[in-house]
This record gives sequence, C-alpha cells and structure tokens, in this order.
Amino acid sequence: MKAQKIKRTVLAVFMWLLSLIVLIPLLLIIINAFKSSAEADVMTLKLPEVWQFANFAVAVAESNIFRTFLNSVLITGVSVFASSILGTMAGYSLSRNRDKINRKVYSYFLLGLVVPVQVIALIQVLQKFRMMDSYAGIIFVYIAMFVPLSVFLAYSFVSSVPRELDEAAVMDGATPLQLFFHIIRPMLTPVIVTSFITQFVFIWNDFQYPLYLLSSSSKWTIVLGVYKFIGQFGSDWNIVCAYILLSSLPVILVYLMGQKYIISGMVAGAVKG
Amino acid sequence: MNYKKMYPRYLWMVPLVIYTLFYILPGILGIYYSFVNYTIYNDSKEFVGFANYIQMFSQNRFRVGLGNTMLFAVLTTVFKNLIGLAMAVALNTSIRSRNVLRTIFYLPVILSTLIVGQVFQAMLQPDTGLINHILSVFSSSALSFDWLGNPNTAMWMVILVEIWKGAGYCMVIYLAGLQVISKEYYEAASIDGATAWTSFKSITLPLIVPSISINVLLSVVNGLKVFDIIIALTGGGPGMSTQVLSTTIYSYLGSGALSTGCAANVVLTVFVIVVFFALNKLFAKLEVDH
Repeated sequence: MKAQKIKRTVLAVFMWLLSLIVLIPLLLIIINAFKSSAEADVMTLKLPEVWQFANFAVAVAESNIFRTFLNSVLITGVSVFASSILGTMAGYSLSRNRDKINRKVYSYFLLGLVVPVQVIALIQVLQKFRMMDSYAGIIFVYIAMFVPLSVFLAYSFVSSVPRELDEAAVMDGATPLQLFFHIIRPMLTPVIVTSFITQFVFIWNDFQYPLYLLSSSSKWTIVLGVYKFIGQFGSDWNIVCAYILLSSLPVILVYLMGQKYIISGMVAGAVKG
Repeated sequence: MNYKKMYPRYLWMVPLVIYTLFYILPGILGIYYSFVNYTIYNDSKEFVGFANYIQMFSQNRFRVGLGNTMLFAVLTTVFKNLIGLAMAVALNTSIRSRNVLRTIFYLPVILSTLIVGQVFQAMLQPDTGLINHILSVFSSSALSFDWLGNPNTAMWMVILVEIWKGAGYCMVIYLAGLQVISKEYYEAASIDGATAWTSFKSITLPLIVPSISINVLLSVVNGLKVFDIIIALTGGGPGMSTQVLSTTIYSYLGSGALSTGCAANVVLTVFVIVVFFALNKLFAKLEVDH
C-alpha cells in the first residue's frame, strides 16, 4: 500500500512538471505584457523591473480591439446559433421520416463531414453573390460548413426520443414547427449544446476564412486582428503581449468557468462525429 | 399518422439551400476550374484537360507542399496520440490533482492556433527567444540558432508546436474511453499474475480501439488540411521549406493562378477522401476483430 502511494506521488510530481510545458508560454505572455519595450526585447521569464500597466492602454488605443471582439461575437454567434438550430431541425426530420428522398438528402449532407472546402472557387461564388468582405458571406460559409455536423449529431440522437411524443402533440393540433420547437427541441438540448460548443471553439479561433473572406479592417475578427496587429507592432513585444493577453482572456475565462461542460461537449461531438 | 405531413420537407430545405450554395457549388466549380485556363489575367476559361495538374506536379512549390503535408499529418498524428494516450493513462489513476491537470493539458486546445503560433514564433527567435535562452544553459552556441529560419529545422518546429497544441485533445478522448473500462478486468488480470504492461496490451488497447479510431481519423484529416499554424510560424518559408497543400493554394491565389490553385485543392480533397475511407475501413476491421 505504501509503495502504491509513493508511486502515485512520483507520478503526480512528474505530471505537474509536464504541465509546465503548457503553462510557461502563457506565463511568458503575461510577464512580458507588463515589461517596458526594451526589457521585452529579450523575452524571458524575468519579472519586469517596473510593472507597465500602460501597455494595455497603448494596445487598446492603437488598435480596434473592441470592434474585432464585437465582430467575432457577431460572426461566431450567428453562425453557431443558425447552424445548430437549422441542422438539428433537418437532422430530426430526416431521421423521423426515412423515405427515399430523405435518405438521399441525408447522405448528401454527410458529404460535408469529410470533403474539404474549395477555397478559391468559394471566393468566386461569394464575388458573384456580392458577399465578399461581408458579415453575411462569412456567416453563410460557416453555416454551410457546420450544418452537416449538426445534422449528423441530431439524426442519431433523435432515435432515443419516443415517437409517441410527436403523435400526442400532433393529436393536440401542433403544427410541424410547433412540434419541433416546443416538444422535440427541449429533448435535444444535449446534442444542440454539443454542436454549439464544438462549432464555437472552431469559428471563434478560426484564422483561415477571415483571412480569405474579410478584407476591410472594420470587419476583422479578433484572431485576424491579432495577426494584423503583430504585423504592425512586431518590434514592441510588450505591446503585442498585452494585445494577445487581452484578446485571449475572454476565451480563457469562459473555459476555466465551464471547462467541465466544454470538454465533455467537445468529446461528445468527436465521439459521435 | 402521415409522416410527410408531420415532418414536412421544408424543415430541411433552408440548410440544404445554404449548404448547396456555399459548400457544394464551390466544390463543383473548383473541379471545373481545375480543368480550364482560368487566371486573374485571363477569364476565357478554355478547357485544357489535365494541363494544370501536369504543370503543378512539375513545380517544386506543389511537390514540397505535398510531401510536407504528408509528413505533418503522419508525425503529428503519431505523437499527439502517443503523448495523449500516455497522459490519459497517467490521469486515469487516483492522483488527487487530476482534474486540475486535465484542465491545464486541455487549455491549448481552446486557444487560437494562430495566436499559439505567434507566441511560439517569438519563443523560437534566435538570441531573444525563451527556448534558446533555456538551451544556452547546456550549450553556449545554442543561443543564436534560428530554428524557424533554417530550412532543415523549420518543418520540425511546426510539427512540435502542433503536437503541443493537439495532444490534450487526444488525451480527453482517450480518458473518456478509459473510464468506461470495467475495473474487474484489471483485477482478474492481476490475480492471474499479469504485469502492468501485459494488462495494458491485452485489456486496455483492444478496448480503446474506438477512441484510437476517432483520434487518428481527426488528427490525420485535420493534419492534411493544416493552414493556420504554418502561416503563424513560418508563412511557408524559409524558401519553400514549410509549404503545405493549403498554403500552396493560398500562394497560387496570391499569384493569380486560380486554376492551378483549384487543381491543388482537388488533389487535397482526393487525398482527404481516400485517407478517410481507408482508415475508416481499417478501424472497422480492427473493432470487429476484438
């Protein structure tokens, strides 16, 4: 029993040492965000001589960080909400009525789970629709990318919801939309949360599509904003670190508060996907 | 009851239209463009057969990109899985702080790849970066080594950073798989005198085949599509040493070679589909065998 306990302690110590590999880069950003420009020229873990809180004011004043934050909220929020709801509704109806057409439509949706996006052709399509460099364009692209996942997750999960519920609701005179929104959607909450979290983490952090599809700075997302800010202030790493810290803080806080749900949601999204 | 009335087709019409216009249509157009001579200077779109593909395969930019994409997908998959599995096994014991450790190891997963890449780019700088400062304790010549500026090391650094970011994801999938294995199997095995390694090999491994399958599939497919981490760390350089397929497409777009870019994208698509179905088949067989 004692040997067991020693073994466990050694293992715990080893895992904590390993966790430093994750924590040190984060610590580095925090420490250097408070240094003077000259001190941050060499990025080490040495504490700043004088804590420069003004770095954050400079980072905010020299950028449109709040604007990029709001853009990210808008783009991520609308895309994730729409694709989760629309995809779940589609997955539910395809699963409940598996006639010939619906089986074909379902397979057609599943294509999107594997096949990568054709980026250059996508840009051409958006230009034809006059949706390049617009919120609507990138939002539709994200919805199209993630609807297959929501459809797929809902399709298998709906089988566990008894059909008698649907029949009782229809007897009481519910329309198809009422049936979905009032009776079925509440039963599908776990699977909606799963698609919501999985997609949120992807879209919020995405860099590739904002880079391709958004050119005017007033529409940049927070991640694209970080990229452009570094291009501009690359020599002042204290300011860059302050900017990185500010833009990552919301994600880290949300993660620390809801990590139990976020991790299990993303695991469920992967296991079923 | 009439299913057609209860579950009318308009319930899937809206997402179907969005998905068709913004996913499938570009897909079909991309294939079409890859067989015509479409550039930003030439809009005539005349049919040229496989000329774009033949030309592309003769170009270094594409060939290096293809090779690097495969190297990246294979190595990150192997190491993310080995490290993720090891961490999961370690955290599946009764260490008291395991929940905190799990939260820490998963943290890189929820951070933006672009931002992570930029931070590591700063850490890997010669003379000023933290990594060389740590290494200079062991060897004084290490301080000025330029990891990302050297064509022989840049790709390896990109792979390392991706492992740093992705191992935690594999870990939680493995943890979920490990937690459903009944303790009784291990007790029975230890009564029979099995060592820790034998019970890992003959109990744990066969029972987590589903988790292995998910992790490998996701890592490989995402590895083939890699883009953000390359742009953040090296931008494809130095020279062409860290080009991958996605960044090749980006640079074809930048130089106006639209058709060639589409051809590269079609190759990427074919690659992803073939690899996905091959791996899927392999794992389906493995799961049946056990």
